[in-house]
Amino acid sequence: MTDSTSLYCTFRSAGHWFGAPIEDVKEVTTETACTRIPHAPPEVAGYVNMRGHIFLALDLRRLLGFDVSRSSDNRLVLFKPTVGPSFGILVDEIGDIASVAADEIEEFSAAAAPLAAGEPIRRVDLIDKVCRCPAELLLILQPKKFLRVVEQAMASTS
Amino acid sequence: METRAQEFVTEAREHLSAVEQILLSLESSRAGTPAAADERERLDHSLRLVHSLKGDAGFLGFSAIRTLANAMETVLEAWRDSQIPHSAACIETLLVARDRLAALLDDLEHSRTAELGEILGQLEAIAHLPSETRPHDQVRELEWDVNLHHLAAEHSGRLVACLAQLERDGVISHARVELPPHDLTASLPQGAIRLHARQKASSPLPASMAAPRESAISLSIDLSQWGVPGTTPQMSPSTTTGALPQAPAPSSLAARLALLASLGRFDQPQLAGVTADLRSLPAGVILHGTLHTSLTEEQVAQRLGLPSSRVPTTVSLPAPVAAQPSVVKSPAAAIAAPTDADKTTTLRVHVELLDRLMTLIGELTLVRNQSLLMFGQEDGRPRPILQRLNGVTSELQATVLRTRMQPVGNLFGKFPRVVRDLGRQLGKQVEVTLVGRDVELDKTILEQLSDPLTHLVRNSVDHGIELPEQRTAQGKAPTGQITLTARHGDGQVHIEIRDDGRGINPQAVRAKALSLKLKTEAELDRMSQRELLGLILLPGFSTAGQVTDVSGRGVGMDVVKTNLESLEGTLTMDSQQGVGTTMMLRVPLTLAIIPCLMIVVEGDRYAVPQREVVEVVCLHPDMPGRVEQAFDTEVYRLRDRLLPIVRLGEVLNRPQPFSDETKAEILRTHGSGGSDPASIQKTVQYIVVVRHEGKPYGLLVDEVRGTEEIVVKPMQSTMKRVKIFSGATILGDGCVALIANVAGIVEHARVSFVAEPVVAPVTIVRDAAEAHRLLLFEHGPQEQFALPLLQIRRIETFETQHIQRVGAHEYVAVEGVATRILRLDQLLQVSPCHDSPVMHLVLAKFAREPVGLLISRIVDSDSLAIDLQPCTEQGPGVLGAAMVRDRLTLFLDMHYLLEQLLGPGAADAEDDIGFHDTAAQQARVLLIDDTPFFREAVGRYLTAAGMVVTTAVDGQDGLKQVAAGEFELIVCDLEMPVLDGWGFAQQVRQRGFAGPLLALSSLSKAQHESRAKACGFDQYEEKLNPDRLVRTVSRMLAGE
Repeated sequence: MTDSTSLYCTFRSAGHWFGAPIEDVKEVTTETACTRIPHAPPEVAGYVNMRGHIFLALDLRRLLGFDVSRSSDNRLVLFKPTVGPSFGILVDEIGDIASVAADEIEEFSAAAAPLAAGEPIRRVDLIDKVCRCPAELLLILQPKKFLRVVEQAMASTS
Repeated sequence: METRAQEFVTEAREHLSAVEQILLSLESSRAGTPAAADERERLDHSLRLVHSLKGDAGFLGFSAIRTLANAMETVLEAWRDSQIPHSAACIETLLVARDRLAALLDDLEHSRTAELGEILGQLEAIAHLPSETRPHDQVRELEWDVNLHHLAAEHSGRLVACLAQLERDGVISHARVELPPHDLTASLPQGAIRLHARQKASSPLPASMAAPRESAISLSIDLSQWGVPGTTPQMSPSTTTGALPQAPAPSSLAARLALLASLGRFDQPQLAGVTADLRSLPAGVILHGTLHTSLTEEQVAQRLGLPSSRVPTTVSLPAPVAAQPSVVKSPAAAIAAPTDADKTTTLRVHVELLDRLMTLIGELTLVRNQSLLMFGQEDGRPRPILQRLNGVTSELQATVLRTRMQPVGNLFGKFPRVVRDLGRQLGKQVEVTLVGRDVELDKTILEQLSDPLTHLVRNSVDHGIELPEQRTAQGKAPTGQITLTARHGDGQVHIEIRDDGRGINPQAVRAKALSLKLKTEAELDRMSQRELLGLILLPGFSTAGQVTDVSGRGVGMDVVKTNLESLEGTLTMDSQQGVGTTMMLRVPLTLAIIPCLMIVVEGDRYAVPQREVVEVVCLHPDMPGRVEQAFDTEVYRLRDRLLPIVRLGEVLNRPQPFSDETKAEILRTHGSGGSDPASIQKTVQYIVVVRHEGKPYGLLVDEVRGTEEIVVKPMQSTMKRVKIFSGATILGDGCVALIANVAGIVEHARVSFVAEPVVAPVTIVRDAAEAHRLLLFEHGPQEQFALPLLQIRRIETFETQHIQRVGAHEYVAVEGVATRILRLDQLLQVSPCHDSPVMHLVLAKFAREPVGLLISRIVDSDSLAIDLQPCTEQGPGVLGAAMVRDRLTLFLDMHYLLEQLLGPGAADAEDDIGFHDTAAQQARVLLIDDTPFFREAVGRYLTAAGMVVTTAVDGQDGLKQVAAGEFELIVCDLEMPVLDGWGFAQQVRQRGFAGPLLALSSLSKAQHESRAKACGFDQYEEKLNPDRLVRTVSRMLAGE
């Protein structure tokens, strides 16, 4: 890892610049017709149909505790985690693939959160690393933790 | 390597199952008519199968499998070459070896180290058994069906002499004769006798024994197309393709049958498809049977004037299995034949690949739909192309679905073995018949059907079929029959397991249900035989059933039922004691695609599986019929039944299972408060009537869009906790819709109210408006009570710890008001109520001070017409008793109870006009009311006030009474059958009745009084307060 660079698929939500390891991302799409799932926790946006497959879509704003009233989520990033089912997250805008050198990446700590530009982040545990890119901070998400948040929310309600 | 091994296992399993079937068929052929050539053929086939298994195993290095297969091969080979005799022990050992092989295949990893010494030893012993007695190559085991009369003619009629002669000749040894039970002192038995013997291959047979060997030919002859013998020209190849050209004269049927008989013995003749009488030989009558003859099939066909035996339409299998394209001599060959054919025409495909194909087709469907939308608007020309795309897509989808289908035969195939093994173990003789093996079912369903079906078949053998001696004693054949049938019907597959065993004794079931306290004696008394049988399916019945074996059945039947229900299937049964039992299973063809009713709630579409839907009711604001309230539940009167209503919108919006507060809130939101028209829904709504655990519920939805065949996708694992949905699907426009899970929804809404079928003698009131709704409840553990809802303000739930005592009186605060508690056991001879922490209080409507009747349990509320019987032993607090839902129910006189509790005048008194007004004394009053309950209650109050009361059941009856006697006053109900109160008043006034006429109704006085008065009534009273009524009547009698 020391002498190599990592590739991240980036996207924007609530003023933040987020990224996810490119090997975790299955595809991105701009076409999202979400079907609400009654009784699912608020973090769940619903089901989406992606070429004949049904995927669960999560609302990134709600996951991270952002203001949902200003939501303009209509882009979908579909994850394919190494374990567990595929799922997607709704984001504001799809970004480029970012190539980040290993020495620019550091572990994320709650202390670094205020440095990010957008709305305050409440669920800091979902963020894995932070990249000090020249222009902006890139927050690397941990998609594998997302479904667990939903599961916990469901367990607490039932 | 991995996939190669997997392929090997799949293939080897198929081989083994074929081998098993062949072995079983060889075993049964022993009892029938063996044909050595045919037997050889079958042995050959099994030998090939085992051989190829051995080869594959050797190639892949599964040494133990190879060794065992090799040992089996040796035995089969020896058997085929007649080096060892056809013996039960041989078949048994081979079957055991086959099972060992199957077990090794199940656990390939450990197969190499498996301990096979014992079975190998057994096979070895079998294979070399005869070598100790005689050299192989010179001996053949032979069997003949010989005509002893014919044979004995040469030996002066003595069998012993005949056999001795054969022995002396040295050509036959070990002769054995199988004789039917027959007294041999008189004469030799008629017909063929089987003679077993060993024969030196080189020795010539005596002429009498050398009769040509008979073979069994299965025939199916279409009588209408059976040519006249002798007149039919020889078959030329061009005529063998179909039926014969000319229809024979009907008179020649007898001649043809005689000809058939002359060719040999014709066994098990059966006529199929007879629909008319036989004088005019209808088309399509098939004669089935087995012809034992020394002739070849070609010869038989020629002599009978049948088309060549190669033509499948005339000669086919006796069993109604799909016709094979060649003459099939025995069931075993039937099994073997398709396997050979399959090799060239089928391909093994992984299920995953098919699923993927299915998904792609779904996607294609979406593309098609989008194209239809896009092109359709712009240009007319691409339409035909799109329509073709449309057609091809649909067909593609149907075809891919079919790839998932497998014949039921794959599942049925294992039962002959299961039955055989179990039958042996239990000392029973059982024969299995399989019908409809080619009926196809989805692979998933077929797999999941295996366990329940095995269970049922085992039950049939274990508990159904009797021991041979028992059967003989009952005049049945010693061999029991089990028939497995599969057929299509109503878009489902019906599977039937029928046995001719002892059947189920309903009385034994009854006794057991009683001893297990599953039902009360009274409940059981009302049950029909069929319902009693149905008890077996109750949970609880089975677990205890393992201890005793009274009923004969019932071990784990509830599990079978549950399994089937998980497949969306059903199980019903029918049994006749001594005759047999039939289990009927119904399963859907596939789970992947189900018909659904599409509904809309708050703008979102949902799918409700069609099988759960009973009907749909449209609620139109301008039409009668609306949702009403009954305690904590909303109901709809659907054809005289109260249907609990679940508002789907509320269910979807509330993630928490409904609590009492939630239900109360929903009632408040949508509550109509009874008859207030302002709160009635303004728009059209629909009630989707669904069934859950046999009970109907109504789902209130905004819109119904019609039905659609949808492809079911499971819920995402994280969403499995959402119980109100069972899956999702992609609709034609590409949107995802959720599939409603009715069970989950009903449970979520916690519907406590259950609309049970009402049984006689309680009948449902036809006129809904006049139905007297009753609250059924319990106080003590023993009795059930009833009160009209009219007399109840509402029901409160409270905690018993809040009860406060003042002297002998108990109070509890209800909304800040001290409410006196009325305990029934203090006033009536009934069982006392055991206080639990939380109890209910029925608040009386017309009491001077707040009174609550303490009850332990609300049973139900329903509209019932009751045949009220006087109940004198209970005294005045009880109006009478009636059977409600099989329980004796006491109808309380609330008025009396309040009076007892609070003192006279307890009911809301306005003034002090007493009951015993002089004018009322001995006054003759006619009371007309169609409801027995009110006739009884009102009649009692009036009688108590000193009046002489005559009753009539409707207006017409009332007119008759008026004509027959004189009355000073008439009290009349308004809504009644035959002639209602308004009509009665008009007519009775026309006939000159001038006395006071009082309308007594549950309709609101404000709305109906003027009309009543216009019809001739003097006064109007609501059916609420008995005291008021008596006062009014007294006043009217006094001329006020």
